[in-house]
Amino acid sequence: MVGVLSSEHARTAAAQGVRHGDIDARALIRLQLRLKWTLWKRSYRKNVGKIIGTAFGALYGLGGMVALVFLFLGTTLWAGEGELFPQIVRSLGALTVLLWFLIPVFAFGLDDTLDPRAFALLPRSAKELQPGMFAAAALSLPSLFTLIAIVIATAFELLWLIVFGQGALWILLGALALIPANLAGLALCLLLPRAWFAHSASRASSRKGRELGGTLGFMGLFVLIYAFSLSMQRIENLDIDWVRAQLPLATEVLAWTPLGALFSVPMDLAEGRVLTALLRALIGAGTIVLVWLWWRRSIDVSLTSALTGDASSGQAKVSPLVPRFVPVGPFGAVMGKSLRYWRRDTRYLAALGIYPVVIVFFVAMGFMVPESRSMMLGLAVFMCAMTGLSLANEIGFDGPAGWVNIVAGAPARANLLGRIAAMAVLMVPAVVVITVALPLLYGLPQLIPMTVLGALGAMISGWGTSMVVGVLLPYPSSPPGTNPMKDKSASSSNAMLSMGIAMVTVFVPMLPPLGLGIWGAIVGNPALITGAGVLALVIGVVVLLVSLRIATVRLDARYPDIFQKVRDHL
Amino acid sequence: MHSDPSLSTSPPVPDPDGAPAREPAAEHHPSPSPRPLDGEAAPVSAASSVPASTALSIRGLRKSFSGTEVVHGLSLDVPQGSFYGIVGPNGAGKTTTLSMATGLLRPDDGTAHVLGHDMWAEPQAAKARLGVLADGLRTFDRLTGRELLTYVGLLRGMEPDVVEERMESLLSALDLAGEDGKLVVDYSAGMTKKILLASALLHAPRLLVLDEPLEAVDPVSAQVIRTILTAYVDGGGTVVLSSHVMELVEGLCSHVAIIADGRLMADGTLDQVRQGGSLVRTFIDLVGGGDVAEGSLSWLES
Repeated sequence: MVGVLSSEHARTAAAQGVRHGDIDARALIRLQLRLKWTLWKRSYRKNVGKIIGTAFGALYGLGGMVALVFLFLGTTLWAGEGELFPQIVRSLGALTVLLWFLIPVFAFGLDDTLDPRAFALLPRSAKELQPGMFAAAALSLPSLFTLIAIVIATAFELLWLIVFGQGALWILLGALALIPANLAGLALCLLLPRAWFAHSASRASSRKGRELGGTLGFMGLFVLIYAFSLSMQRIENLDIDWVRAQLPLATEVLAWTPLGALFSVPMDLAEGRVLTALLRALIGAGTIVLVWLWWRRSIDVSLTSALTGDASSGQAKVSPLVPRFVPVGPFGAVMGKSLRYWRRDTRYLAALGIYPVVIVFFVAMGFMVPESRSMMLGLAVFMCAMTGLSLANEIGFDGPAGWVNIVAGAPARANLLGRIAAMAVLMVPAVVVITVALPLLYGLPQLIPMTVLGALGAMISGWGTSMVVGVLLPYPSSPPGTNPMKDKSASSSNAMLSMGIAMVTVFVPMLPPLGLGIWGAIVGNPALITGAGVLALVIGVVVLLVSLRIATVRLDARYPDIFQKVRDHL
Repeated sequence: MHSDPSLSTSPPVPDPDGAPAREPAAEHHPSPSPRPLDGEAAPVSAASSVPASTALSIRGLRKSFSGTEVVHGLSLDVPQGSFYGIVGPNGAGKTTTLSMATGLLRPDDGTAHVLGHDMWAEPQAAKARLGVLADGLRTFDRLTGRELLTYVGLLRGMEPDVVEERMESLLSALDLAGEDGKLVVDYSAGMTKKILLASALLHAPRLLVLDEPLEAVDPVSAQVIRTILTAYVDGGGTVVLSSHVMELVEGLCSHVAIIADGRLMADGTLDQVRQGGSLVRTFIDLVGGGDVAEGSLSWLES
């Protein structure tokens, strides 16, 4: 390098006094904003799915805005009375903050374009970075829509103040507090999820802990959805008047929490409740300061531990790869590998974990709505058939690791059959227990032979179909350990095509037994119903054998080409 | 390390109709385009026959990705018992070529023979004699090291007790025996390379193809790997490794091939290729580049 730098150049550089190490706070914010904007724009490049998703999101957002305008119109001008409006504003405000927290945490995650860890090598402190990161957080579509919604709300609040306000002083005070309070509410919306995610990212958690947490969250979400839909079954028993009476109380309580405090301050002032308004403003301001400091602390931790988040811990149980009851050989090796992946890879584990939740739902549904029992039973059999499709992208799930199989010259039949065997070990006992227990619980024991045989037949047919689809139409998957809620691999067009075809091909062979079963149910002939189960099992086995043959031949001939299609995880 | 001298070079075949791969393609690259070496270290012609005693013979391999050809009819002979280094700049086509030679990527044209067995015509015979370490590809990393080795051994149809025995000796030689219960995903980069090397060695292949085997490996582990590979070659095995670390290749290999831009620039014994100079010099002469304009980094000296 010495020859490269002439002493003259060195002198010039030194004379100019190249300064670095500090940057103007506003320049830093501008820089971070521009970075966020550029990266956001580029994330759409060659990403049709995201463009379509954003377009739909924007449409929904616009629809929401229109609905909001009509809601406010209805409760102010059209109603001709101002009783309800403050309540609506308070509850919507609390709901907005709550959703801003819940949706990122439980569903979609957060756009972490400006991950603080990416700044770890730069000489900037969390204190300096934080304003820019906050500004960048405001630069997103959801923030934009929230801002628009708040502008709409502010306009209507002003209108309400003028039309229904009680005394000029209160109107003036309310109007003065309006914009700062609402903007502070928006700031809290932006801050809360950021602080939460920064905190959870800064905790030095093990790989296992993170992955398991994601899976549990995913299952929790399903439990919530099903619990909600169960409770909706009982909604007609609800006393509407009682609910009406409780709503103002609930709103009032919410307005005292950090969630609802800020948005209700202007309304409180307008109603002349100065002390309440002051206290709530204090609660809101305190929350913002605390969350801001909490966020800063987490950023600070992230800046000094950019890599610890990937550290791992935990020991796997040491046992022979091939299960004891299986001959030691290629088949046993593949089966042993698959069994371990079902346990250790969240992509498999989440699929496995969701079934108990669904089954519990069916049972509960059958008890709450007795007339739905036969349908719930049918759905349970249907779900069992669907489990077979969990294998439909096995080669894609291997992804880049498929090279190990190719260079080892893995026998195609063992490679496919071992995966089926692993799944059979896990699912057959569960399916038998469910299809025996569910009719018993529903008081329909005469259906047990049909449900057991039918579910097994459909599932076995699903395994066969999955193998053919997996070999003919593999698609790139997310890497092992991906949080199931953030797994986007199933939304590619290849994935949709592949899953669609797999579903159709599972059900076509099951049409004859289905027809036979329906006929049996109509004429009330138990022999026909049981016969439908037997037929389903026979067809399932035939489909499996034929499919396995096709898939084996194909994999033997084309494994390298199939591998190249899926060699990059998403 | 001691190979048949008659094989150590690919004789400059006076090909009547020329190597069709190189000539037309060279026209696309005007004046500063890299030109293959002449003389002893000149590349093999795609038309020359596959010698009976090579460990790996590549003839006229071609591969295009979405219309762009990245490997242009590459031919190569790796003599048995040689320690063969393939060097080239990033993106030269080393990994693509090795992927085609090891059965991972179907070539558009050309053949690859592993100890006389055509990889794409009789893959089972070729794969049985070949051990591979791929670079930049995940393995089944939700298995522990022992599970992964057992998996690979059983897939290859080896006897369980042989797998067990060799696995233990490999794990202790590579200093991985104490990692019971740790999943490969939690291994460091160097440990991952070592477990992959163990997977490639388990069935005692006669040819080892290793893509960047020493990348990200710490000096101690690197020394262990070198010792194992050198002993393997001394025992009559053949190693083909790719790297862009010239010093590594110069210190370890008996033969070397230089690949740039999807073409073979030179191959032969180390001395034939470097022609009295250093390998780095030959490489840079063939591939071009490597100069920094004077004064362009002056601020670094201040």
